[in-house]
Amino acid sequence: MGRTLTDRLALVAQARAEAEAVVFGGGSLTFAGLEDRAARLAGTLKALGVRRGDRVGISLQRGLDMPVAVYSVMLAGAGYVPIDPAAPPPRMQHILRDCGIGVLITQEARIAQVADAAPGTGLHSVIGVAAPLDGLTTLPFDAALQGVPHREPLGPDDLAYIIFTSGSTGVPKGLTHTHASALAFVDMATALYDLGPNDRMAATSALHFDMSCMEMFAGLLSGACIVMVPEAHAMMPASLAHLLDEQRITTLYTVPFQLIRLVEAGALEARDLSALRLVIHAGEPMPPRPIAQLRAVLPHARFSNFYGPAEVNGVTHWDHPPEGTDPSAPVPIGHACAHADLLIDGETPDSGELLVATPAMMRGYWRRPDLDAACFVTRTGTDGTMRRYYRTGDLVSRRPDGALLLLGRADRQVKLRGYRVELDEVELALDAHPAVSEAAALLSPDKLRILAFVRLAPGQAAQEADLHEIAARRLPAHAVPASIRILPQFPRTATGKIDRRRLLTEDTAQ
Amino acid sequence: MTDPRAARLSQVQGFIETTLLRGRAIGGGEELLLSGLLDSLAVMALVAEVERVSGRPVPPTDVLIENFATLDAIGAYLDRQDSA
Repeated sequence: MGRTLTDRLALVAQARAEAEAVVFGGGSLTFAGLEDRAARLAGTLKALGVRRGDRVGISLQRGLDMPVAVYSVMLAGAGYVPIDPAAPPPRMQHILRDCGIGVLITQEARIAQVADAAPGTGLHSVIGVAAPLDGLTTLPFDAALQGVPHREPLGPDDLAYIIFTSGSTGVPKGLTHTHASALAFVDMATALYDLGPNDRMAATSALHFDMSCMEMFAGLLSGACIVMVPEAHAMMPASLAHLLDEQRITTLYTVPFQLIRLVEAGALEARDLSALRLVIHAGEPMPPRPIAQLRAVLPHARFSNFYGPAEVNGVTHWDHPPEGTDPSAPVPIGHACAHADLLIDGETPDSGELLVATPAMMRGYWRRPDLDAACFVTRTGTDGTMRRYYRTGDLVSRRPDGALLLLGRADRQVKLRGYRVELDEVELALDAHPAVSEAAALLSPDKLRILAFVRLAPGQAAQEADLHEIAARRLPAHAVPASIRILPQFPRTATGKIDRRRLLTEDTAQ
Repeated sequence: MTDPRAARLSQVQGFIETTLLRGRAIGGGEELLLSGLLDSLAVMALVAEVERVSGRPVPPTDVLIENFATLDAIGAYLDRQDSA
């Protein structure tokens, strides 16, 4: 079967050589073409001095070059480190330095950012840029594809990728995944979602977001074709709906925000989405109402909530029942995926912090033994054997039917005048108002009040007093927000999540 | 005499350059979306500005890449709205 991601790519490239592997705009690559380009680029990386176990940076927007770059780094024996193309130079610099990155694969549009970030790091070569850069070797992408094909023999414990997350203190931390942990995810996801050669999967995730493992690994290695969604389509729901129709997309895996936008502004009724068999949402809690609206246009599709922190990737799933999603109850994260063992660490056996053991778990944080010591614990698993578990920091409770509910981050559970308040519960109470599309609740900087923000669905109206009333009806008095503001839009992170930190600055600015 | 169409489009241009790009000038054919110049929040603000300038709503079905990709495309879209 192949014990590394690159072995698996070789197998698919042999079995489905001439089948379409990647589509972007008017261009495409076959599986053989993808593997060949990746091996040639790997040859160039070797010539630039990349060795087994090294780290190579990738800062690319979605396009045909993205999967070529990903597999080329691994064929060279290195691990890839995705860097947000929109990252400010100090963040790029931190990652380059922290990972000892010597070679970066990027694009012309990033020149200024790279020039700012490079000084003081070990960066010596930049692929994807033709113009000269002070003190750096530059090489256009096409020229880099002329290398002598290289396919480094690797084992399951070799480094595959390092993804950086923000970290609660604002210092980015790297998560180290191996070929073994990535393949454990691939095999589980392929079976769970029945992925295969008949699928055309929309790739909507940024590479520095762990959701991209679904398309880059599970999609491609199951023999599916991945359709890279241009960045602009992610902002224009009607254009995204057009692409889903025109490209006969079968599976869409994305963040709740994207699905909400599709429902609100995608004009889905005008589209033929009969090919779309599977819609998966992940990344943050999904308000239940848009799922019911989506189901009305996609009555034949399977809808699934997929949950898991990037440290372990997806580990639980919940399929929305075909008879409908309760618009006033939170969407459960559901049940353990086949490769995961779950424990609940709390005052009762059914409520507390979720611990996960899985072969898809990261090897550890990159050069942060302090973080490793805090996040890994050894416990007796449900099968009686001792295993290493990852502390998710997420609070869950078990419903009578066994499905897990996500109560929120342990750090989203706040103490207010001695009372415990779940901020996610406050958001859900506001979501219950029919005019509300999304809600966000947070603690004021002085930690004395709860501040809430809502965004209304298009064409809907509501007064702040009405929202206050619904919150007061559904929440204990101490959890009712001191202020509820209606905003036309929410600030978003690069991955489409609500940016709660920026909400707070905007509130203070008023 | 100022052409009202040109005046309208230069208002949109001013909004993009001043508010969305903080002082960066753009050309009429310059790619705003596929180049990554505007993020998703900026795109929504741009659509709202086009609605304000034209005094007409932009229906969701019109929020398409081909209508907002460049300043020229926005101008052409506004003109089509006039004749619709």
